[in-house]
Amino acid sequence: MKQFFGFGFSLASLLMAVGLSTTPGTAQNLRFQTDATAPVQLTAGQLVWQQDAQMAEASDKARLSQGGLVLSAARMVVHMDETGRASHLIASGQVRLRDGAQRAEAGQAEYDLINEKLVLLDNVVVIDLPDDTKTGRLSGARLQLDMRTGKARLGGGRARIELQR
Amino acid sequence: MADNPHIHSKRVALLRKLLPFLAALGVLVLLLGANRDTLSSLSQSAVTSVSTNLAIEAPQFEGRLADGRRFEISAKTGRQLDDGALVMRDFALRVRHQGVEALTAEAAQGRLTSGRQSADLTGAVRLRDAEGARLETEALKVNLETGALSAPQGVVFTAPGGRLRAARFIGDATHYRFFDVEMTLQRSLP
Repeated sequence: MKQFFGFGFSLASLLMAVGLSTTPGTAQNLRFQTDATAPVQLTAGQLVWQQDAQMAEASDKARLSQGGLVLSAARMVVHMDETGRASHLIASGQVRLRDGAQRAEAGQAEYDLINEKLVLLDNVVVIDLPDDTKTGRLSGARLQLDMRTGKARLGGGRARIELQR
Repeated sequence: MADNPHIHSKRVALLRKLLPFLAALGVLVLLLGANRDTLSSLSQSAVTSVSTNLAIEAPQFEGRLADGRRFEISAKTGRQLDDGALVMRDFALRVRHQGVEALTAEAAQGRLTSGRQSADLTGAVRLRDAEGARLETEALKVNLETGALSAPQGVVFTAPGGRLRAARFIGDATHYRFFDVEMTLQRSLP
């Protein structure tokens, strides 16, 4: 991180910084470390269970983890189906998705717990976590992640890739 | 000294006439005494009727919460303390809404405050609601006027949507609020 902010920005004009704007609809293929069979764990400073509304709202450092993947947000709302089981989750406010190798940030996330699809929306940015060689940054309007395969597609709006080394 | 038989007969006849009135008067005094107890309970709390089992065996209470739901309290035994509180063993609280059991709470011990405004449940407290959610804790306070629930210690909550542990809990008829939560979600089946 220090390398990214210090070295990267101070020598920004000299670095090979590639700004690659693409047309709407172009998608970038990514991969996250997912385990759809792992239990879905939710931690939060506060959780309000509304049985009548068939929902539970988590706030105060809400954090959802499944295997090595962690989704955090200011607020998470879990919606239940007619049997009372959790069917989907909506996260909003400072949404962050992280596995061991990369981090994604967005304004909102929707996790379909039945079909095991996670979608990040609203100014999505995917950041390679710093390593010894390079740091990459991708942005777009929508990141769709298949929790079964770990494959993700970043697209929608104007996808942008920035590479720094 | 023997009484005059004629005067004696008149006294007996008079007593015979008075006996039904005396009996009625006695019954009236008993009824008024019982009524005064019930009214006293009403004025002190939301409890509307009280079992008058003197040994406090199997005490029972009935009342109505502010939102109109009726509740019943029962226990195996009860003991009145000097401060007016009532401590009961094998305590059970049942809240009904429109004739349907909306909530039950059972505990090893329940303590009704002297004004009967709240019940403090302790020891293996088990709460269950109409939707099948269960809450387990060691201490739970129930406000018998508002229906508010609070557990200052750790709770385990199990519902069809998941199972959670929390450091603290407060709740009412529509919301359960948990603090410092760790939850495992139970996902919908595809």
